[in-house]
Amino acid sequence: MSELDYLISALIMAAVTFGLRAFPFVARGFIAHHKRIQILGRRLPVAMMVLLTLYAMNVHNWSQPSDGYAQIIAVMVVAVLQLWRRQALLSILTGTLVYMAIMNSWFGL
Amino acid sequence: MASWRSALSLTFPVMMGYLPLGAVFGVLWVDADLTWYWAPLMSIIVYAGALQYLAVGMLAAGIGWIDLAVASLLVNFRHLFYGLSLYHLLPNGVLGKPYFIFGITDETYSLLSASGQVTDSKTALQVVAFNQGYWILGTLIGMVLARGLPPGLQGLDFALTALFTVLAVEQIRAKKDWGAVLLGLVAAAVAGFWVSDYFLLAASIMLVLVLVAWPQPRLQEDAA
Repeated sequence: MSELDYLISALIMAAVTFGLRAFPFVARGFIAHHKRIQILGRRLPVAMMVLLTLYAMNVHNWSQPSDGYAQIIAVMVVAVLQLWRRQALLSILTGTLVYMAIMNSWFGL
Repeated sequence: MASWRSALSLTFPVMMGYLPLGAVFGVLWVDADLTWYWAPLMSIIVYAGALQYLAVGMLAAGIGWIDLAVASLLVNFRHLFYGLSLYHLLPNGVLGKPYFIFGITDETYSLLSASGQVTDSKTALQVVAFNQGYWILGTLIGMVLARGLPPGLQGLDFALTALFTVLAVEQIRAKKDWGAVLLGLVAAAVAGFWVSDYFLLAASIMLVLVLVAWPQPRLQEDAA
């Protein structure tokens, strides 16, 4: 990637993110009174986080033998830990270590 | 006076989270062989955790501008609603106002909206600045640590999956919206089966269309 590519990438990500964060200050009434926007706001993040988890797990490329089993085990570890302790950092670090342990054969598997 | 001290102590829990999570971003960036100094620049210019994690893979794969914009929109869509409960803390300054808005991350939002401990815009602005400072510092720490990791070490990028899993669990816990969970799974299955090259784009368009177009009992009263 060229310097210009990095700059444009950063500016796109920043502009979209800033736009989302700024919108309620500009258009309070629209969000506060628009029912469909509010329903979208309540329901989309739930669906989106499920989708993003699957995307990060790379499920759409699992046709060949893959690391899918390691992903599934580690995701379950993260989910159970998060439900139990609700410490995001603990869940993320433990899950990542479990995944790395499987992938790097630290258990001799 | 010395309100930055209270901002500092308020943001301590965020520091505990942002230093290691920022460090993971720094490590992933260096591991992906992207130009090193763009990691802290991303943390300065963009400042959006999950999106920055996601962008590492996308940039390394040379993905297009539209995909990047769509990913930004979807990953951060929830931020569209944060400002509604922070209006009373918005500073007046020409620089302060946009910087405050720029800095409304998940953690900053929950700190400022929930606690009631922050009541003036000056402290709020300091909270924002401290939090971004931790994130940038974490990024730099990660870049240094990445040099010391053994070569051939696999699987650190699972941190992104873990982060989204945590966010999903917290969303489900808060909203208990099993219909939306099912919708996410179905959209992923449909997109994965038919259009796996445009997986995220196709699946997310499906989500938005279904959620907007689906008949809502309360909406029907409205439309009358």
